[in-house]
Amino acid sequence: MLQFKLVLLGDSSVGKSSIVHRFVKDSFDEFRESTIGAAFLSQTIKIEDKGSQQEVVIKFEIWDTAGQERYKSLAPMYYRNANAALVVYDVTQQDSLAKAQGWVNELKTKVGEDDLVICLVGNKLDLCTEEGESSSKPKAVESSDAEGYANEQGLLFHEVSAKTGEGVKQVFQSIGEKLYEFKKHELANSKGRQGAGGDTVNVQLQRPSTNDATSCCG
Amino acid sequence: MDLKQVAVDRYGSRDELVQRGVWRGELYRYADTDKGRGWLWKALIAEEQANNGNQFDKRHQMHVRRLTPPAVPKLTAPLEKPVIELDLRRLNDAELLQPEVQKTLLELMIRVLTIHNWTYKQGFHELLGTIWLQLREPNSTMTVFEKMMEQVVPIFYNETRLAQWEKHIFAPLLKVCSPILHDQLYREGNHTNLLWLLRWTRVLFLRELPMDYVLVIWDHILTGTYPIETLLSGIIVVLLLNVYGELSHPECDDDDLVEILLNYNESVSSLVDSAELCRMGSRLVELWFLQDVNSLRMICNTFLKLRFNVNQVDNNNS
Repeated sequence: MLQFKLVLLGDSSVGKSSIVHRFVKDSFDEFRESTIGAAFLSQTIKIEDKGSQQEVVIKFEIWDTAGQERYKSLAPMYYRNANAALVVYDVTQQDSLAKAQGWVNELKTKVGEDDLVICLVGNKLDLCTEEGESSSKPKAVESSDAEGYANEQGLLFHEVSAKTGEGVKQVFQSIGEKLYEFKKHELANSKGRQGAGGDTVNVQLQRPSTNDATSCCG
Repeated sequence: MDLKQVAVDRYGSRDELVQRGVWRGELYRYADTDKGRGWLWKALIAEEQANNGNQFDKRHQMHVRRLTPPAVPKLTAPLEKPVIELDLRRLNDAELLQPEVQKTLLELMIRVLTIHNWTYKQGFHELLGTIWLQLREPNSTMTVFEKMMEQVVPIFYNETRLAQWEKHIFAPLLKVCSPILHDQLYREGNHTNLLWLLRWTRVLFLRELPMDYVLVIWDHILTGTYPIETLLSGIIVVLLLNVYGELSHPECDDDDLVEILLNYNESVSSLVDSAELCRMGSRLVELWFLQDVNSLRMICNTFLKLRFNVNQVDNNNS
């Protein structure tokens, strides 16, 4: 099993915790309490190794962080050693994408690793899909703008609804695939170092502070 | 019987209620602890303010001066008002989401922030909401909220002070009480323990423990004579001992530790009684002030032996 550390970042109330709960527990609460500091959850997915056609199990260790501006100084504590980051914005809030861009910049300057997978995620799609409904809101961030920015920066991009579940699994699936793609060679080396002792390799791929790209946890 | 009835029947004075009822835990043996807390807090705090000539007198007078109207500056909405409104709308209780209650809570929050010149941080709103649910009345809610926040804000909502607290109070106490847990949590290369300590301390265990349990801890905080930073250290040490088996498991790695501690309510299988937790936490604090290392270690070893039949092997003997 492969383990990856994934951190969620984004402005307050864009739905970071709701995305995590949809992914981990397949549930949605209309009223979700603010995250204080951070929450920690884990979930596994399966991806297919395109070369060998074999199934690979990936475990995400998910750090869901508080979005309030004042917690920003603490953010490095959470994204330290992360393999992937989900930067979330609210598609119904105009300034939300700009704030997400701020997080992307911070990750790029502070983490600065080429193989950190960043995925830009627009949430609350359900609020603007039912035209004419009294509860619907206009879409304030155009998909093309967000996607254009994501392409420019080399980020994955998805629009989702944590409420309906639309697109949520695909986010983690695509991150898993990308991480696996990055790490395949390191894994092969790691396997070689471990010898032919078994059929499975259990490798933690969190970035250690020692810059050793892989480490074994038995 | 509710807390009010037991308190009225058994204690003749506030001091008796505080010392025997709360700190010796008698109150919780006889009362249904989720009923009558509003009355209890009013009695404990309002009477503290009205009482003259007792040991709380000086502190009380300082407290009253801070709350007396002439000192209240003109209220202006802080810049964080939209965030506060947003957070209040996310409180997890239907009663707190009523428009009238939301309005009152917002006013109270702004008033307290203005008086104390505090900057709002997420977590304030949960403490205020919880206090409101016990009292359901603005004046006493504000009094209790202020009393709580005057202790909590300067240390636990200040990142620098929080880190200092961890380094100089919490970690050394844990090291004396349980070198094994200390070594486990402070292994080189580990995540910083502030990851979980931040939430435990800022919302005073609201996310980690059941509500009736948390409120017993809050009774102690509101009536305590111990500095909150030391009292919370003692309580947290006992809570860690309560999951000693899980934390000290040889296969428990850095991430497992954080997962256990950020999901404490799911990790813990049998929780020590809330009054017992506070009694033991405060005993640790007393011994810490006396620097009685042997007794500290002995209490923790006895706790582990009695509750989990675990012998805490002491290799360091320090």
